[in-house]
Amino acid sequence: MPHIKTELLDVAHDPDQGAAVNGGPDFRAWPEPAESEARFRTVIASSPVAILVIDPDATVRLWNAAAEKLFGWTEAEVVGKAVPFIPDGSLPECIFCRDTAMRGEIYSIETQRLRRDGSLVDVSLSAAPLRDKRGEIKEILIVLNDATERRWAEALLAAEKRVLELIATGAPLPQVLDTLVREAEANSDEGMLCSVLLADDSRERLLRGAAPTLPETYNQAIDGIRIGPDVGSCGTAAYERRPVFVSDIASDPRWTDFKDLAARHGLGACCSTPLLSSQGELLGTLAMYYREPHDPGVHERELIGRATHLAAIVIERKRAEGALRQSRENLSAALAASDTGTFRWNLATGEFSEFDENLKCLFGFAPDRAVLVKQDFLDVVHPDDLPRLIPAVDASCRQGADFAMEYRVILPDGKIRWLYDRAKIVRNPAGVPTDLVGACTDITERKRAEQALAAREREFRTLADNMSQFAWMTDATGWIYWYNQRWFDYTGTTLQEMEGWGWQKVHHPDHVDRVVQKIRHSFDTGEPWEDTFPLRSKEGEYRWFLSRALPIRDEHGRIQHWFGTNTDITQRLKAERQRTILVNELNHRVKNTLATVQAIAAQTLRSANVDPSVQETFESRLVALSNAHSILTEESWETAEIHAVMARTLEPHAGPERLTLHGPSIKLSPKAALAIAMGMHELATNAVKYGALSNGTGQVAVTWRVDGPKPGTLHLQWKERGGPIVKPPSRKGFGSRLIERNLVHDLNGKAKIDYQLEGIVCTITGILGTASGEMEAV
Amino acid sequence: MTAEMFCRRVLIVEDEGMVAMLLEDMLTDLGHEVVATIGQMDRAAELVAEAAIDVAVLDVNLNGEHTYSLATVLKARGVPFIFATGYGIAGLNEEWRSAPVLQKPFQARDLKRVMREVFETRAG
Repeated sequence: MPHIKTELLDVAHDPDQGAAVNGGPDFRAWPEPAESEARFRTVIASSPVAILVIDPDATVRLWNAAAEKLFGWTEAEVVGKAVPFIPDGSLPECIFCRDTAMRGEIYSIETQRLRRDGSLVDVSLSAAPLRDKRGEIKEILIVLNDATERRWAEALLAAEKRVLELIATGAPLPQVLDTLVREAEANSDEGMLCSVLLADDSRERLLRGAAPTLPETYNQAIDGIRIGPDVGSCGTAAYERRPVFVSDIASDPRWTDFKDLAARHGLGACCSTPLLSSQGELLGTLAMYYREPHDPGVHERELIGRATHLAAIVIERKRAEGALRQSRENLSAALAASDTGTFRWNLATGEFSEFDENLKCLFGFAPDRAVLVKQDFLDVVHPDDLPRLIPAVDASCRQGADFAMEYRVILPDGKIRWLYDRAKIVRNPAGVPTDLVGACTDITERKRAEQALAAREREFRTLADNMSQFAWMTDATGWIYWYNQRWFDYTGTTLQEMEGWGWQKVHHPDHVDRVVQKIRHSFDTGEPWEDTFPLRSKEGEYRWFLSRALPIRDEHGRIQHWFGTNTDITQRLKAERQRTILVNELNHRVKNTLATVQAIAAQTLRSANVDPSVQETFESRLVALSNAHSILTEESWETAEIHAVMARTLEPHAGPERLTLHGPSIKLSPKAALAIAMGMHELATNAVKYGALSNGTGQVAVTWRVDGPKPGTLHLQWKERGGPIVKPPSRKGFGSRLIERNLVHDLNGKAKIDYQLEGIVCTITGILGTASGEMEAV
Repeated sequence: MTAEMFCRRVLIVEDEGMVAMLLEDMLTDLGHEVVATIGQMDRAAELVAEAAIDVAVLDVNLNGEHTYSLATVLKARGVPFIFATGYGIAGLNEEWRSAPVLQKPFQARDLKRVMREVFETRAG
């Protein structure tokens, strides 16, 4: 208490009367000895600080009330006697003290003195010489301050400091609480046993925190006690959120359920205080137990208060740390998962104060690699990107602007990684930029995808511009937004003119309405579009185009675009027309030739007086051949449909009431079609002459099917019923030979004519699509 | 079977001599009278315009020339006609698709059928 000492000395030292000699008061300057002596004694008597005056042989001359209070002896008991409070072994110190003062110096010491009750008291002691008028030292003034309070306060501070240091070093919560509890116990004068309980997350129970000196069995027993009324001191304090001081556990109703437990462990009193966070959340309780029923004194209550405060800080801090660590871990995990690393770069020093592990990984640095200066990171940036990167970083730093750039780094294995780096300038409270704080994300995959996309786009454009067709794209509504170069080359238009629905201006006025109507229908319904129409070239010529468009859908099936093409079919149409003319001409000539052959035969047979039925038979065969030709002509001599062949061949001989045809649609090669037509003709004419068609009721059923692996085998059956009784022919005529030989040869199959009594059954088997059969099933 | 009992006066326009001869024989065998057989367009045009005939059989392609103009005249005169063609119906000009057609080569019974159809249609 140096301040108090100075104050006292100032009282003894009149500031108006000159300076002290040798640092001591100068009594020569006192105005009137009697008066000053009186004033001096009054000040000492009323001082709250213990003061006494002794003479050089240690006889007490003056003993104030504060001294009496501190040491226990009354003025009357000590004045005129030797100083009473010198503990054993302290005499040399006391003599040294007196001698120092007697030399005119002030002596100060932290020491201990005896109380009347024999106990020791910590004091800070100052001894100063008192001089008489002549300046001789006759007495010594001794000022004693009770150092217990200060010592205790200092001890508490030191204890708190140790606890806080532990927190600062990142010690785990149990260790910190353990220390706190032990320090509290060490500072207790009343034999206290301290414990901390922690509230669980639900704030329903108290869990074991730290209680190193309480019996282990007791700690186990109260671990997890409920927070509620009448649950001992701690449960109740936590529940009521206020201190609960129970001075006698045995008699307190709040301890009813636990008093036996406490008694078994020799606990008589318990003061518990809730630990609350700065936000008022319950963190736990701090309890001080005493072996006997006890009411804590002032010191003890102060200790409880301070320990409680500290424990709350410790727990809250640790919880916050935990939360922060967790959130850091979460962030770190998130950053790791998103291939993002962070950095902090000090603008003033040009050094990285942070360069996290993710970022090191992204840059291809080893985790323990020190990344200090800008050059460290510039070293791995792709040289081609440096001319962009360096000025951008510099500009950002200079102007305090945020920074964002994509650049490449070269990894140790030579691979390229694309990073997206964005950073913000951080300013100090004065607004001066201090740091560049940023994050880099691996965008290699995206870049790769972008490059692939760009490459595909280039390929597409190249393809689209070089394809022989016009190509275009619309949005979902049919608004055309893109044409390939061919379109513009042909029409001599611009995208501006054409986009949307502008394309109608190159359509022929006779067709445009039909075209628009049809394409609108497709855009509305999503049906693929196909149309044929003329388009005007830049020279004004109309050419015909076969146009198609297909919707392009997203993964949900929604139409995103339409992709359309226009194929110039002018040439093809012309060629088709010419081919049609040629085929017609050929047919015309063939038919005319057949007609001429027919005429020659007719004239020949007529002049030879041959039976007219011979001419009839000949002509009918010729017509059957001609009819088969007609079908093939209609199909451009490519294929003939089997139903058409049957109908055209057989209908002249029998109506549907006499003839049934049944079988799948088959496209026959020209050769097969002719063979079948001729065969059917022979069977029909035979039936008309002798078989089922020779009377009024007979029936002919022609059925066919295809089976076996593709292209399959044709099974065809001609079956007559209801005709006259069949008599097998005595010799085979042209008809049966044509069927069994010719048709079989041409179809590469088998044929059998079965002369059943109830009607002829002809079975023909031919292999479809074989080299010789040339038939193809549809 | 009533129509064929009538003897029809028939004009044949056909450039192929043998086929024309066959037609003549067929028509005669069916009991008709062949008024004339013409192979040239100009001469045919004259007859088509003037001749007293009941029906004409027209080869569609007369030496590379279509005989539709003759059909037009006949139609105007109200004289029925039959196209005889190697093209078949498909080879006919769209305007004349519904006209009676004989697909070459044809048999007498085909001719008989078409003749009957022509006059039945008219009678109906």
